[in-house]
Amino acid sequence: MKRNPGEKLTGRIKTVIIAVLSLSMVLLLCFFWFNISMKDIQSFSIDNLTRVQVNESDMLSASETFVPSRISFNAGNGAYRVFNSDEVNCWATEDKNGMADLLAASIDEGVFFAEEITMKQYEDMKNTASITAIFDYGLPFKDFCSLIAEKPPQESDYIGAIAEVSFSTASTTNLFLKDNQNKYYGITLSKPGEYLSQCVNEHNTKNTVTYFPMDSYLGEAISNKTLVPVELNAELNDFVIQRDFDIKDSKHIDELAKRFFSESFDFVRKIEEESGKTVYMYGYGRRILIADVDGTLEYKMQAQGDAGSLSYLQAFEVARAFINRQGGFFTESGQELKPYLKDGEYNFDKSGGSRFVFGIKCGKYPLLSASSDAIVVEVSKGQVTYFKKCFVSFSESNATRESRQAMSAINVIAKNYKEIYNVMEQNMLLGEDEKKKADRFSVVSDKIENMSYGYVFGGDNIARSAWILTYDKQDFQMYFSLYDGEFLGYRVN
Amino acid sequence: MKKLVALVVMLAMLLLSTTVAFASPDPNITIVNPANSTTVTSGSLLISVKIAKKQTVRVSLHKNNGTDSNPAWQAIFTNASFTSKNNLSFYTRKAENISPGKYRVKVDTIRSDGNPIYVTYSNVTIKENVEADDKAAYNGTGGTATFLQSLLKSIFGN
Repeated sequence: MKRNPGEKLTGRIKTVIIAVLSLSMVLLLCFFWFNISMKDIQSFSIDNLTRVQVNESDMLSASETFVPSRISFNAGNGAYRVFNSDEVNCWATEDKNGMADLLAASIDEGVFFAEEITMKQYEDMKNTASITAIFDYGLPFKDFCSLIAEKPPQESDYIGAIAEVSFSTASTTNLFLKDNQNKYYGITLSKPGEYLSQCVNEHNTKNTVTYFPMDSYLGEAISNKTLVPVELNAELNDFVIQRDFDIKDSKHIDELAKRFFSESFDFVRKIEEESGKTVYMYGYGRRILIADVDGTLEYKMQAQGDAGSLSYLQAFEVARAFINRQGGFFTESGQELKPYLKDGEYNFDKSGGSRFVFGIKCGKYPLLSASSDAIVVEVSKGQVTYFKKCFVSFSESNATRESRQAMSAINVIAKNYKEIYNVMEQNMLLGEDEKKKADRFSVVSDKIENMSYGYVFGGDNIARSAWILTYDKQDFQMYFSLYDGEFLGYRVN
Repeated sequence: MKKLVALVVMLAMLLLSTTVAFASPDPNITIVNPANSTTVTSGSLLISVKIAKKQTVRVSLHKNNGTDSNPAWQAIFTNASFTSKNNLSFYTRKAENISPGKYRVKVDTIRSDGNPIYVTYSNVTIKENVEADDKAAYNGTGGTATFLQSLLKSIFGN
């Protein structure tokens, strides 16, 4: 039977209505079943997806993470130039002729040979025209070999964590290594480092800040070889930072907490302390999360079972996956941060645990908190047992201004050595022999392990340009204004 | 007559004291680098002067274009005055493109009227940096004995 056009149209409208009603029914069912509110729909965005679970490509890989903290070039005349490892192309290169590449080739070709040498031999090599890659964290040499080569050599078992790797133009078929136990090794390469020799010449003639060892400025009474710039013109500017969350935003804090407790969140006890902290507790304290007023999240978990200890590299992958689940290196406002491995140690707990401390950079300078690191992760028995996160948002464009002369680094110490000594004394960071010495300036100068500059922020949420004096393997830092040397603060771990 | 004698004595003392002071080094100044009578093999020179008092100094570098017995000092640089605002501070500067020869770092301690009251010197010889790397050449033994020694040490301790 042939239908007229009016009946056809009515039929189509009916079909559309039935389809819409069916769809609405399914959606309503979803609303009730998954407890979705209208607010959830309004706040849904692509950002939310990336914040909670970060794309693999946005996460740091092991080879991107385990790079030298800085690289120094010696012209062979006592003058040095210092760079971030990503500013110079001499560690791992595309053409496979960087320091790490030559070491990998030596291992893979079976030429690798490590011979213990004396400190004097090592220093003699460093004093020639040379490159030194410096590591502020303790990457075990065996793990490093696993990372760059097919199989770590047998000798790598007897070498500790890497402190420095040097290449000297006086001996181009070797690399020289200092480990964290102050042992020194000469390593045989399978081919001469011709490209590295070129790097030495190229970087030593660059018109950049020149550094000299501290004892060159202070005389023979000091035996400290820490590199210090002669004079510095810097473009660093103070700027405002925003904490990652507001502790008063209870719903947001709950959302953050759900990432840590996931499916067991219904059984989590929430305590709001008078100090402003919010504490989440699960299983009689077996898992605890503290959201603090300064925008830090601190998570502690008792390790369960005995999964056995992991290597540093394996533990890194566990830590990395955990960081990924907590939103990676993105702030809650969606800003992508520039992380770097600031500190770390294998067997920190004497039972095979691994510790990773990440800092963040603003431009090419570290942005430090006077009280917390950006991320700390501890992995024990295959599980993350400790995690602390302190992220801040900022506008990088506010962090620089026209270049101007910073206060001389040596004069920062000279101006503040009494203050530094007092802080050390109060925090019991001085040995008995050091306390007996009358020359406090020498005591303070001799103990400095690194002198760098960057930004430091405290409770007032202003990141200030600062000289950063590092002592005791980063357990103690003092901060002074970059341009006038005024005391800004200190941090003792 | 008495007045004249007193005036002569005063003038003599003044001249004598100025002469002595002018010739003597400042006890509050130490030229840390380069240390006096040292030889440096480099084309650049770090100058570091320790100032142990709040005072003003003027640092200069001179090259001897004459001989030891008949020096002819040519100024390489003379800096503007540097005032130490603390009881301890350092004047530091890197002098670049220094040709081989005999040099003198001179530190004038300046009075408020701008005249020097002390002069402190440090003499240094700059030599060309030849074959410095060869002297430090590393000759790895590559010996199995050394490796075994390290291995045994790590097993049984030192």
